[in-house]
Amino acid sequence: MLGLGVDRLQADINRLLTSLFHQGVLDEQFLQLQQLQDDTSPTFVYDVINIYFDESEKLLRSLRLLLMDREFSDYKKIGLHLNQLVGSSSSIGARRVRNVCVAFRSASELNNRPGCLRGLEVVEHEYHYLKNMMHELFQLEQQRLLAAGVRYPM
Amino acid sequence: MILFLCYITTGLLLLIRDCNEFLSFCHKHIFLEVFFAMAGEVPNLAESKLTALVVDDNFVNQSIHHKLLDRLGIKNDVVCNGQEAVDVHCSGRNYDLILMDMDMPIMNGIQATKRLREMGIESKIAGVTTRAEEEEVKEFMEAGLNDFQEKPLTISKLVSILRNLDFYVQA
Repeated sequence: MLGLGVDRLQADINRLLTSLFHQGVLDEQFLQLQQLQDDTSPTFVYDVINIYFDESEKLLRSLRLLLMDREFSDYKKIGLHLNQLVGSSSSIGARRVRNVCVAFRSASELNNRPGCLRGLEVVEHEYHYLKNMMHELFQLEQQRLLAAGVRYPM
Repeated sequence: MILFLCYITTGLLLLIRDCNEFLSFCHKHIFLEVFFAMAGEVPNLAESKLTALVVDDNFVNQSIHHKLLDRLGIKNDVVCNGQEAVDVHCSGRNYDLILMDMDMPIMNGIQATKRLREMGIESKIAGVTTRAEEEEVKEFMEAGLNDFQEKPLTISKLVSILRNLDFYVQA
């Protein structure tokens, strides 16, 4: 019976991942991360994704502060922050976040402030969607591990 | 005579059967080789005692590149920018391979590569960056790189770097 619980949770995980791949939220680079997880680093994916969240939120806060400043003109700094976001999003397989960051970067290269503000909103939206999905995935994984850890005496 | 012909025929049939089995074994063996090649079997280079330095200001990339090298059995250190890469060499450390990011604060990959070459560092340096414009790659290569790969780095891209730089010869 417990085996069914683990199977059901695994099916839920597979369904969620399939959906995220299908929506283009994740790409094959995420699978590369999963391949790197092993016995010596059993929480590798979780750890790297959390580093990504920490760093991305700092960058997004900084971008918002820069753009909210009425006298803002440092588009080069915006570009540098976005290079970081593009790079780290690519590395974890966050395809949609990466793509909207690239679009945002194009607006910054044209010194287009309204375009940058729109770009920031889109990036924030995509980022939060990804974060929510990743939390759901990690919760399911946690439940699966707990379910798999329970044993009936034979 | 008839017995002789039967004997010869049986012998030929046995020979054909053995050849078929042999060919079948060869095909199966070749198939498996191709399968594993396509599946990207991960080499373990721990015995080669290679060392590497990851130079990248992005913490996500640092973690991933460090783990990729670990997975291949390559001991590695991580620094956050070109200046730290130069400093670590000034302190006497040396590495077989350097994975050098391009865009970094304080000292970028191009500046760091030039500086390391000026210092006489002969380590193999592979540039890894999200930038893939021809002019930018050319400038990076001319700074003194031995190889270049576009990010994101994967196991197969890293194996490709190792192969290109003669650190790994596939059997």
